[in-house]
Amino acid sequence: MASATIRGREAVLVARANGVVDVWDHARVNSEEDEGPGPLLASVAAFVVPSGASIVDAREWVKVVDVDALDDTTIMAVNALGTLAAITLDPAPCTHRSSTTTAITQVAGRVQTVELGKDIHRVRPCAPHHRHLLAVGGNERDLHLVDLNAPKSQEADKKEEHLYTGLAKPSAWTGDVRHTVVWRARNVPFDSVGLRVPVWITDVRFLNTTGTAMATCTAYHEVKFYDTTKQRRPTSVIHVGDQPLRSLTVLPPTSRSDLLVSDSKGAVYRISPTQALAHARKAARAAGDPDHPRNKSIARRSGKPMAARSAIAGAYKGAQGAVRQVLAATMPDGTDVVCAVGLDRFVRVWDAKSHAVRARWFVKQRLEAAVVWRTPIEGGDAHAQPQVEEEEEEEEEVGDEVWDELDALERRQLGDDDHDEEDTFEELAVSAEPTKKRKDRRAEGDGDEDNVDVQRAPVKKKAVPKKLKKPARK
Amino acid sequence: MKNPSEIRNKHKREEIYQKLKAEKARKQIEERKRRKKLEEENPELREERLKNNVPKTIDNTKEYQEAIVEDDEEVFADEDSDEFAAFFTGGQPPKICVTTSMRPSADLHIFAKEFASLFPTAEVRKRGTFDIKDIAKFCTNREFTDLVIIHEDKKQDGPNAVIFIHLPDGPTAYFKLSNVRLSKEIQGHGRATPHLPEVILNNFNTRLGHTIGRFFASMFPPVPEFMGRQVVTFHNQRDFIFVRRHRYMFENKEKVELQELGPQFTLKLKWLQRGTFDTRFGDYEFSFSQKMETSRRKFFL
Repeated sequence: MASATIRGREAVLVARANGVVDVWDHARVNSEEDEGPGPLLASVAAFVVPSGASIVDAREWVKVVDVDALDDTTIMAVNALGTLAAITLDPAPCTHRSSTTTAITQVAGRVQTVELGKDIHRVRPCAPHHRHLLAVGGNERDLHLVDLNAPKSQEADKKEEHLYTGLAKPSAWTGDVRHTVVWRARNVPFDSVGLRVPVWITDVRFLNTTGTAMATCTAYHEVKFYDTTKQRRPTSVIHVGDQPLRSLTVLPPTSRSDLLVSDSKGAVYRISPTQALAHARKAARAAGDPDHPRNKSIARRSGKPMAARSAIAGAYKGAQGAVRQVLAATMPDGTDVVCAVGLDRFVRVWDAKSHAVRARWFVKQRLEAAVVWRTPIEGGDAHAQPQVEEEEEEEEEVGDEVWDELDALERRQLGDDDHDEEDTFEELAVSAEPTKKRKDRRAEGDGDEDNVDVQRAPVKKKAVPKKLKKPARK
Repeated sequence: MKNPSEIRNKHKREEIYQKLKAEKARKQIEERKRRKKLEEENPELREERLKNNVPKTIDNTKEYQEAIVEDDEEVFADEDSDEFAAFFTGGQPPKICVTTSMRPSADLHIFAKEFASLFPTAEVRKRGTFDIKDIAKFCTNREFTDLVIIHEDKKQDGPNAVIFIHLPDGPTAYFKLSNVRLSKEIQGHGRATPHLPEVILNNFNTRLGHTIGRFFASMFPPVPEFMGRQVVTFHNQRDFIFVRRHRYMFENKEKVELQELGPQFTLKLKWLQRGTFDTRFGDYEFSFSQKMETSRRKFFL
């Protein structure tokens, strides 16, 4: 899933396990009108199985791994075999209100494809200015940056130490898809017994807007930080827990831009590089001085290694199953919240600072993805707010509502377009008071279900969509 | 009357206390006799008394679980497309492969055979030295629908865990196994016949419970042979699943007798993982840990 602006309208991109990508207009989803254009802007069959493929191959072919928007009219989708498809949407009128998800399967405008290679788990564009710069990683596919604009001559040589210094000015995608790797990461040195350390990237995030700082989380319970201006190896590696990490996100600057990682058993950790630095500085100051209180503990004196937990700044407890997506958002009252969705069929929201549970909803389906929405749904003028995208203010999100995409993982049958029961959109208005939790559920093609009137949070001026995504899987 | 605990003389204290207890018991008996007489004349009094004095048990003071499923369209639709849909909506018959942990003791093998007798379409295979992941793949190739692995740690302790893996890519459930009794250890047991049993699933109330209940149900052929009068029961109480096999016999319309057959054991769910067995890199839907035990009245199944 991803939130993006398509043709001037705030939209949510949803990728499904059968290769279809839907673009839903958020502002229209809950409007009560029966007439007029429906909320589904477009539904594109991003991947079509070539004839003669075996059943197993066909499943891999349509399994969408990642989806995002490249510019105002183009979406990109990557499938499990590593094909990136950039699809330009038709300026066709939107669908009628009553149509269900895959009623219109248009392969519109232009579709360009590029092969990124197999076993890719995450392709993330550098939002919001450099969408043509993609961070790519996967199983035994170490992190590399792909620039869709750059000509071949700029490709990073595998053997050379290539320092990529980032894109200074905001740039847009030129319209041609080119597979040019501008920067490749190097693996960490061999471990203490001389073995190569395996690589399995499950999530990537850009930590700045110029595309030079990234963080990845791996299935080997590591969080790695990269700085392309400094070196190709990770600048630091933090081991978190002992389960594979599933998703990574960045907290807003009000929470010191810490990271959140989630693992496959329901733990959500907060990683603080600044805290780690502070600890390291303190340790360095105390080093060599046997009388310093820091060095007086028995563990230290007996030469035992101190637990390397200085980077982990706490956890958010409660999730019982694998957390497939963890998100950060800022409430209208300025507090930061952490939201996790996962296989235990709950949506949980914690206060970022106090770690207290703000809200918890049982949503009856295993969840794959969630997206934080900026503007609340109101009439139709939500999109009238100008998209102010200035670099400093980029991180000042004002998340008012959380959208969940309830993805039916079980939908494996190819070409099964009948999702009527399974696709349920739920809007959760997380209001400032934790006691008010009301749900507004809208089933597919059936707007008559219990549409409780949800109390909307007040509209804020700036609406910068942040991209958080995760498409359908298995 | 002085509180007997203030009497310093132990013998005297005992004497006084015994007298008090006897007096209390006598009063209670008299009260009961009086009540019985009244209630014989007026049975409504009895009903009222029973209604007002329901004892509080852990079972009827359970904590509210949001995940408890009541008549819910959305859940039914979700279930219609889960990993067991092939059995429930597609009518695919179950075919189970039962095996053990490596280097099983003789007792474990005997239990494995009895366990397999519970499921009409199950067969026992020797484990050899294959990895579970490989076995799952081999079974999928041979069109098995389920793989069950019975695990023991120490020979003298008997089996202590059982892993159910639904194939081809269904969930994996790991249960702790306890209170295992073979049929010959059961007093007055009967001998099972090859008739297809009926299946009873009790108290699988939450969404997780539904998944586990469907898991068990999908391992039996859907249409039982009522002539056999055999029934396998999976009874969930406080997250422990009691598995029993009985033969029932109707003496008359009101009275039914049960004879226990086959093995009996107790299961407790430890974790449920999506996909086939992959404890290193798989995603868990439920993984029990002590941190979850926040209250004695909270149950997950």
